[in-house]
Amino acid sequence: MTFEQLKNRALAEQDALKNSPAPRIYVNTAACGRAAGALSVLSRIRSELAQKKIAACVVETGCLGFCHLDPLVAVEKPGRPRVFYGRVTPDTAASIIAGYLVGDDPRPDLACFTFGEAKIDGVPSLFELPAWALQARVALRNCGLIDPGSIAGYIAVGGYAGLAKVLAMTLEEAIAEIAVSGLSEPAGAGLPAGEKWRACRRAPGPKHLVLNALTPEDLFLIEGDPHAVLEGVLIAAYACGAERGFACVAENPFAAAKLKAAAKQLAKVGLLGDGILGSGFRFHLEIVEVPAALVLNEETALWRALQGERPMPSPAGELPAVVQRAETLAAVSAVFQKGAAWYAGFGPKDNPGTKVLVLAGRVARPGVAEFPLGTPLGEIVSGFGGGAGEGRSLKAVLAGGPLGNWLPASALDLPLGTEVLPSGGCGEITVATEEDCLVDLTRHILAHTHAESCGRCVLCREGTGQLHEILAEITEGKGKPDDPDLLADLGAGVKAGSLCSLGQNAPNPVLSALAHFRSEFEAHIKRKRCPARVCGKFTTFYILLDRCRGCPACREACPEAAIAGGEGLIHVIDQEKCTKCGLCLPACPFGAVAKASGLKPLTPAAPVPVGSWGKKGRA
Amino acid sequence: MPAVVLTIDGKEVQTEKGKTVLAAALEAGIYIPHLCRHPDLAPLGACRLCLVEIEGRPGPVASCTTPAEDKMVVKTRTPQQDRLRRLALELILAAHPPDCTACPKYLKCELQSLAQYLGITDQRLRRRQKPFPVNTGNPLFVHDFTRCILCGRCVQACNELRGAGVLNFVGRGRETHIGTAFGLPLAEAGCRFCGACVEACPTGALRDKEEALLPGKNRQEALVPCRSTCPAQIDIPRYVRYIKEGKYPEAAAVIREKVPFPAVLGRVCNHPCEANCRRGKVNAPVAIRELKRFAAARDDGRRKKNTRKPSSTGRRVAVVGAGPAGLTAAYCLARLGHGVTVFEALPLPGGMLRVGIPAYRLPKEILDAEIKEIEEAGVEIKTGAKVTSLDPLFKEGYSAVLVAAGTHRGQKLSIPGAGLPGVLTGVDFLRAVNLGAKVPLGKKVLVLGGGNVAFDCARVALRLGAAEVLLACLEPAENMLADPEEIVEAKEEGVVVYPSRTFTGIVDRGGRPAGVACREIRSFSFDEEGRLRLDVVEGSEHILPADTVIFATGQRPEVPPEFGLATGRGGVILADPETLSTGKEGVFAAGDAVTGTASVVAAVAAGRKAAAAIDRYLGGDAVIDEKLAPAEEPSPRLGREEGFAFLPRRQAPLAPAEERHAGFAEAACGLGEEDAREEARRCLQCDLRLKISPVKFWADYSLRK
Repeated sequence: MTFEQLKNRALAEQDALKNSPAPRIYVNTAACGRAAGALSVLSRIRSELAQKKIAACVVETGCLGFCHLDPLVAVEKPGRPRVFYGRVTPDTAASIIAGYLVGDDPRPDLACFTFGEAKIDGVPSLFELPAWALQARVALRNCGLIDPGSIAGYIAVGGYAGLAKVLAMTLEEAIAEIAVSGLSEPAGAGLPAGEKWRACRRAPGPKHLVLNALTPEDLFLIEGDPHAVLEGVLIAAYACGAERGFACVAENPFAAAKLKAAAKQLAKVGLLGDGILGSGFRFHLEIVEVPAALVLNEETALWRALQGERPMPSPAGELPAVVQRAETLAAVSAVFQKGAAWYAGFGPKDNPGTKVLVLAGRVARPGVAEFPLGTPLGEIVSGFGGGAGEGRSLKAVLAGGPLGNWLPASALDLPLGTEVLPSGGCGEITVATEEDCLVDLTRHILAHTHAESCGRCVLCREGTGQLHEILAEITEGKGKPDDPDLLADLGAGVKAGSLCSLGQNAPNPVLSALAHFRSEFEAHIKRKRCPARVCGKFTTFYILLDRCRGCPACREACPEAAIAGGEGLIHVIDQEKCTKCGLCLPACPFGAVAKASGLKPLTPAAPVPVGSWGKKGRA
Repeated sequence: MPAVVLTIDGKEVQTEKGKTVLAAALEAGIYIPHLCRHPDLAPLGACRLCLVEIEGRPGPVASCTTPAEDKMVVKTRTPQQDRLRRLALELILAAHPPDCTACPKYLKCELQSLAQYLGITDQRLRRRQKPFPVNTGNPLFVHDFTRCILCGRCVQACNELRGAGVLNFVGRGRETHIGTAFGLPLAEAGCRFCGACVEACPTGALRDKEEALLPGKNRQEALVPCRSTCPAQIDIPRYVRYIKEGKYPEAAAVIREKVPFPAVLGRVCNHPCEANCRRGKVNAPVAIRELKRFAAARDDGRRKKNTRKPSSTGRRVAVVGAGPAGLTAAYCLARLGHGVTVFEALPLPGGMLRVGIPAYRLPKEILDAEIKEIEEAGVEIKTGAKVTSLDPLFKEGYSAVLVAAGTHRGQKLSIPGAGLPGVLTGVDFLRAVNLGAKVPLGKKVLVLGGGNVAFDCARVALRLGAAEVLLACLEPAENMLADPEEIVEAKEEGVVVYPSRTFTGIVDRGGRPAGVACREIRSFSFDEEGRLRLDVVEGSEHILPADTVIFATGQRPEVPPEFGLATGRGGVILADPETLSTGKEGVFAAGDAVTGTASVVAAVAAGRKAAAAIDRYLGGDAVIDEKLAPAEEPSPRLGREEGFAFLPRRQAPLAPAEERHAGFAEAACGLGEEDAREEARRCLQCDLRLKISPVKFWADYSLRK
C-alpha cells in the first residue's frame, strides 16, 4: 500500500465517523485519569448510554495534561465543538448525558472549556485559557485529543506524512532537515539530533535505533500518542541507517500495552518490517520493558542492559546505536510533517525548541504541558500551574527532577533552557512552599538518587551515600557545624569527577539548596530548629489554649494515646509519647493543634477546664 | 603502530596509537594514581583516582579510559585533581575497615599503598562498616567483602578474562556489593576456581585460604602444587590441557620433556601431585596419574623430531644399576652427547621396576618399550654385569660413575625364628617371582609390613595360589603406609589385614614356621635416637598362623665395600644432596641407594639431578630439559560451565577381584578417551593464574625515574 492509499482510507474512516449523527464521548483513561477514577466514570457512561439507548461512540484517549481536572470527559455532537468536563464523577457523567445527549443542554455549569471552532455560551474555548495559550504543543500535539489506539485517527491528523516525506529523501537530506530544525536532546542543551544521527551513520557495522521511554513525560506521551513516537522512530531509523531497534519502556503495563498495540497496527499496514511503504527501507522493532532506573538514561548503560548485562555506564567508545527519548522522537515526526523551519520557530532563535514539563508538588494546578524554550519558569508555574495556591507562599522550585536544582522564588524569571534544566532533560518541576523543609526534601531526593547509583564509580556510589547520610544526620539533630561546608565540598567533588551524568548531577539538589537556603541548614545544625516545622526531631505539636473547646477529636485521632483530656477540658499532648505523626493536626475542627520548632510553648502539665487557663494566665 | 606524541606535565611523551593517557604516562615514568585499572583488564574508569586535565576538554577525565592523541596536553597534578583524587580515596577509605595491620594483605595492599602515597590520614567523612561476615565456606578462597572497595577488577577477571560469569555486581547504591547470582556458594554458581578474581583483587577482600596454599613454597610453587610437588617437575597443567584439547601426542611430549618413563609412571607413580591437587579441595583431585598413562599410550613418536641431537662430547659415563634412577640419568646424559654404559647385575634391566613391581601393576612389555627407547638414545645396557669395584671403570676410560644400585637387600626383623626356611624377605620373594623362578609357598602366607611392597607380596602370593594370605603391620588401619587403593584392592582380592601389631617371634614347628606371635599395640613412636617406642596392649598376645612368612619391613642398599664409598644409617651412600657427588672424585650416587627406599618418581627425579650434576662435572651446562611439545599460549578464557565444581573424578575401570586374583594380567585398564578428556576438563588450570600480570605500586614507578 502506498501512503496515499493509506491516508485516503484513514480519512474516509474518520469522515464517516465525523459525519455520522452519533455523538462522541471522550474519556481520559491514561494513568492519571485512571488514578482519579476514570474507569468507573467510563463504565457509568457505557451503562447510561445502553440504558437510554443512545447510539454514541465512546473513545478512550490519553491525557490532555490537566491533571487537576481528571477524570476529564469530553462530549462532541455533530457540528458542535467538543465540550470538556472536569473532575467528572459517575453521577455528573450521568447528568451530562441526561442534559446534553438526551436533551440539548451542554451544561455550561459543569463544562470547563470547548475545543473546536464553534462556541458555546458560557464556556471558554481551550485556546483562550492561559494554561493552553502559553504552551507550544509539538510532541504533545495530539495527546488527549485523538484515540491513541487508532492508527487511522493519527493518520487523519497528518500522521505518517513525515515518514512518507523522509522516504523520498536521501539519508543526507533527512539528516540535513533535522539539523535545520535545531532539535536536540535534552531540548536546548544536548547533542543536536542531526549530529547524533550522522555519527551513527558513519560508525561501522549494523546500527540500531533505541527508543528510551523511562521518564514520566515519555510515558505520558506513549499513552497519549504512541504513533507520533513510532513515526519518529521510523524516521530516525531511516536517517541513521538502522534496520533494527529497541523500544525501552519503563515497566508500566499501560504504556507498554499501548506501544505494543500501536506497533502491531503498524506491521499490519506495512509500516513496520520489510519494504516499508513499498520502499527498500526495512525496520524491525523489539519492545522491551525495563525498570525505570535513573542510570538507564545513560546510553551506554541502557545499551548494556539490552545486551543482557548489568546496566552500568561504560566509558568505552561509540555505540552502534542512536538512543533518543520518546519526547524527541515525537518532535521528530512533527518536524517532518510540518517542516524544520516550523519547529525552529519555537523558542529563541539561537536555541530553538520546546520542552515537555511535568508540574507537581505544592502547585494549584499540577499537570503535563509543553512550552517553547525561553519561557520564563515563573510564567509556567503561575500561568499553567496557578502558583502555590491560595494562602501559601512559594519558597522554591526543584527544576529537573531528582537530579535538578532548587531555584528560589527570586530566580523564577529564568527562561526555560539549560540553566533551568541542567540534568539530562528530565522535565519534572516540583514546587515547594514555606511548609516544606528543604533539608528534609533534599535528604529524600538523595536517598532516591543514591539508591539508584549503579555502584560503579566511587564518587557517585560513596559520595551520594555520604551526602545522604550527612543530610539525614542534620535532620535528626546530629549535624555538625562543619557539615554545610563538607556537603558543599563533597557535592562539588562528586559533580566534577563522577563517571556519568547520574553522578555528575546527583549533588545538584544539595548544592543548590545550600547556595540558596544555607540558613535553613544552619537553623537545623546550630539552633536545632526546623523553620518549616517538618523535621520531627525539632518539632513539637501542642494544643493552643485559647482555641481548644474540649472536644475529643484530637484525642481520638491520636494512635499513640499521647493526648490527655476530657469533656470540656483543654487537651494536652504528652511530648514523651508523641511520635509527631501529625494526625491530630487536621483532626481538630477549631484549628487548635499547632506545631512549633525551636521554642517550647507554655502548656499546662495536665488538662484544665476550657477557659480557666487563659483567665489565670491573665491574672 | 603509528606513534603519538603528547605532552604530560610538560614532558614530551611518545606512545603508540590506541594506548591510553594513563598507559602513556606510566610508560614514561610519570605516575598517576590508579586503582581499578589492571594491566590485563579493560579499563573501567571506576575509581576516579586517575583523573587528569586535558587541554580543550571540559572537566577532569579518567586517564585510564581516554586514548592518547597526538598533540594532547595533559596535566596530572593540578590542585583540583589533587582534591578530587583525595576525595575519591577518602570515600573509599570511609567504607573500608581501618584495621590494616590485622589484614592478611597488609603491605601487599594497593589501597594501603595509595593511602600512603596521597597521605590520607584524618577522616572527615562518615565511616561505615559493610555488613559482610567473612565467608570461609567456599573451597580455596576466602571472601571478606567488608574489605571490598568495589573496584570491579574481580568481576572483570571472572567475566571478561575468564568468561566464567560467576562474580558480578549485585544491588545498587550503598547496597552494591560483589557476589554470585542469588548469593549461591561458588561451587553452585559455576565457579571454575581459577583464582583470577583473587589475583585481581587489590585489597584483602578476596584471598587464598592459607590452608589451601602449600606451606614453605614461593607463590608460583604454592599456587600450582601439582607441578611443584612432582619430584620430576613435570608440567602437569600443560599436559592435562593438551589431553582436554584432544592433543594426546603433544601431552605425551610434555611428560617426555622431563621423564623417559611416562607409561611406567602412568601406572606406578605414587602421585604426590594428586595429594596436593587444588581440585581435591573442591571435590576430588584430578586423576593425574591415569591421564599420564592415557597420554603415554597415545604417544605417536612425532616428538622425536624435536629431541636434542647432540654431537658427541667424547666423554663416557658408567652407570651402576639399571633402575629408574640409573636409566633416567643414562638417558639424559646420552641426550647431552655423552657416551653412557649401564651395568646391571641382574639378567634384565629395570631394577625394581622389573623385579620389585609385580606384572599385574606394571606389565613387562610396557617397561621393555620404554627401556628400548632409552637404548635407542644411545645408552648401552650391560646386563648380568655386576660391578664389584669402581676403580677399573675409570681405568677403562669412564670419566664419571653414577652409583644407582637401589635397595635390593630385604631386611628381616631380628626376632626368634627369622632365619627358618620358609621365612622370606619381600624383595627376594618378588625378585624371584618377577624373574620367573618357582617359589615354594605354603597354604597360609603371612606378610609382615604395611607398605606397598608388603601389599605387592600379599597379592602376588594370592596369585601364586596361596589359599590364605594375611598381612600384619605396626601401623593402625587408618594410617598404613601403602597407597589407599592398594589396600582396598588387596582386601577385595581376599587379603586379611591385621593392623597395629608388633611381632615377638616366629613359631617354629619342626624347623618350619607355623605362625607369628603378635601383640596388639595402641600406638608407637620414635624417640630422639630413632628407636621405636611401643604402647603395647597388655595380655594381647596371640598367634597369627602361617606356614610361609614374608618380611616386607624394609630394604637396604647393597654397596660393596670395594666401592670405597662412605655409607650412613641403613647402609645408604652418603652423597651431597645438591650435587649428588660422593666423597670420591668422579663418583656420584642417586636413587634409593642414597635416599633409602622411596618412590619411582623420586628415583627418576634423582636420575635427572645426577645427570645434570655429572654434565656439569664434565664441563657441560647441565641443561637437561628438552622442548618436545610445541610452545603454545593457553587461552585465558575458561568459559561458563554450570556444575563444573561437581564433575566427578573419572575412575579407570578395574578388572573384578576374581579375575585379578587369577593371574598376572594388568588389573587396571586405564581411562578410555571420553573419560580421559572429561577428567582433563576437571583440571582447574591453576597455572593460568600465573599468567596474570603483577600489579605495580607507585614505588615501582618512582624507582624508574
